[in-house]
Amino acid sequence: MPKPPLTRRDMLMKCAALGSLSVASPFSLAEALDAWERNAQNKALPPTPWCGIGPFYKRRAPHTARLRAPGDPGLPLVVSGQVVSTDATAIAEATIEVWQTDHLGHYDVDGYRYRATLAANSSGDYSFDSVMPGHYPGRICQHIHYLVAAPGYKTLITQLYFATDPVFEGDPDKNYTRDYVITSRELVRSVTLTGDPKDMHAAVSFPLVLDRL
Amino acid sequence: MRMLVVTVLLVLSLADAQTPPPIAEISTLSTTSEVYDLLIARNGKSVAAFCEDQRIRQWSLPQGQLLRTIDTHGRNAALVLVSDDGRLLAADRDGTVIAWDATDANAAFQTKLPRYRAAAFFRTSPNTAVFSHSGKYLALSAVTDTMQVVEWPSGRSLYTLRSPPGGTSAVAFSGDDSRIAVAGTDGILRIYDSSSGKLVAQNEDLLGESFAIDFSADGRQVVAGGADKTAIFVDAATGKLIRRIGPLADVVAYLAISPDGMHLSAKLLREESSALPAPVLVWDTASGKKVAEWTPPGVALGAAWSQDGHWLVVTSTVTALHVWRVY
Repeated sequence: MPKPPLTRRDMLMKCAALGSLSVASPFSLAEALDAWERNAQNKALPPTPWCGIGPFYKRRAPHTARLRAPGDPGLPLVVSGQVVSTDATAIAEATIEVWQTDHLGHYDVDGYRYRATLAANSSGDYSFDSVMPGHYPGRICQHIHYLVAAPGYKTLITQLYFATDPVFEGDPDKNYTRDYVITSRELVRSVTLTGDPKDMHAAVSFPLVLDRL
Repeated sequence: MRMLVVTVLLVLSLADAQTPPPIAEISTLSTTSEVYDLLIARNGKSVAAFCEDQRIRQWSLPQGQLLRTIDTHGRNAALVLVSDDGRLLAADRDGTVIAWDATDANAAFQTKLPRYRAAAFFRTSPNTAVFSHSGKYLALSAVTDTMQVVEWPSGRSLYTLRSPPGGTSAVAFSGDDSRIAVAGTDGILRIYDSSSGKLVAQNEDLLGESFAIDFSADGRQVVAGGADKTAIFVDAATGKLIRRIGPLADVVAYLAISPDGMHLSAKLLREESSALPAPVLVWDTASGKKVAEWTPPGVALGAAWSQDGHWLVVTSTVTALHVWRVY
């Protein structure tokens, strides 16, 4: 019986397995293959999945990309990404509000610790320096909240999760629904660790895709 | 001498008339299954609980008589609403919203929301759905950019109100049903004409999410509070801030003005965990003076003003619901 022909994705997976294709971090192999296939087929990017705003949003967060103050305890974390439309056009005017707990899972309700308003640059890129959030007692998973707005686009409310969260037991594909608030596996991002054991840093890529109005 | 005795007795009786009765447990409602979720009707006439055995039980208050038990057939549900006349709404985590009439154990109507919308009903605020005072309309806020006003019992949607992108966290009808006050996740209060759905006024004095909202008895003011740890009174016609109560010890989860308009009550929420007991408070609305504060032995799961003017709070243990008269 003849073998069915390999799909493009199967072929690329085989290339990756045999070492003839490699993917630079911070993208996972699956993400890179998705992008390859979309480009090949001229497909639109899917908008970033929506995920609830939660009870701790606060207007007028300070304009800063440095949420982590010198000496703050917790694993230093840099989150970065690009804000684009579903046709992959960079959105330069995007405003990104982020808020999270400290490393122990406490939200600052009285003030603005670990809350910020960011502006994407002319390429739609954004980045902020923070700490890995702790587990808030009312929620199952570590997370960072996002509210992304840009003229001409639907406002996006979502949350970033971490594949390293112990709740997923190393298998977010299988276990991401353990937190019923998580609406999509896509929101659980891989974590890259850099530095040495005495000075470890985490980095996460979280691209944001907005729908046009 | 006789004059002095009469005066002393008069003073004592006046003092007695002004002193509220001591905080007391007035009903203990036994349950055969642990309570997971609980709501009390706005008029304090009944309380309903979703229990570990996935049945909803409803009791009369203050008698504590078990009125009915509804089998949800294995649903992992949250109670959304108990109307003044005993109708019930519940939602499960898969997005199904079910409504029951006051006496019938069969569902009056059932509707399916996307899973993420139904998740709104599992949130901190117990105020995401409300019946109009006439009982004819039902405002259902969800975690989307609109809030639906539907007709009972058809479930037909009459109109939708725009909400901020994060959705609506609390909603209230004025006593004459002419206005709907909506607290958004962005902390902004919006007051609408309930017949047209047109925006009448808005207020931006709160920065964090408001979980609690209510109208004054005469409908001229709206009181709201939430993550800012304050309660604000706002002119319902202009949206202007009238006054502010606080800062309070913690997040405001629920606010209710007494039927006679004389008192404002609040249920707080510990910001570090909703599973910890938090204070309940009562103020005199005219003076803003606090007249009662009490931290119950467990989390205050439900609260309401009774028809005879008492502020009731319900806590639970594994085997019972405890109804407390706080004021």
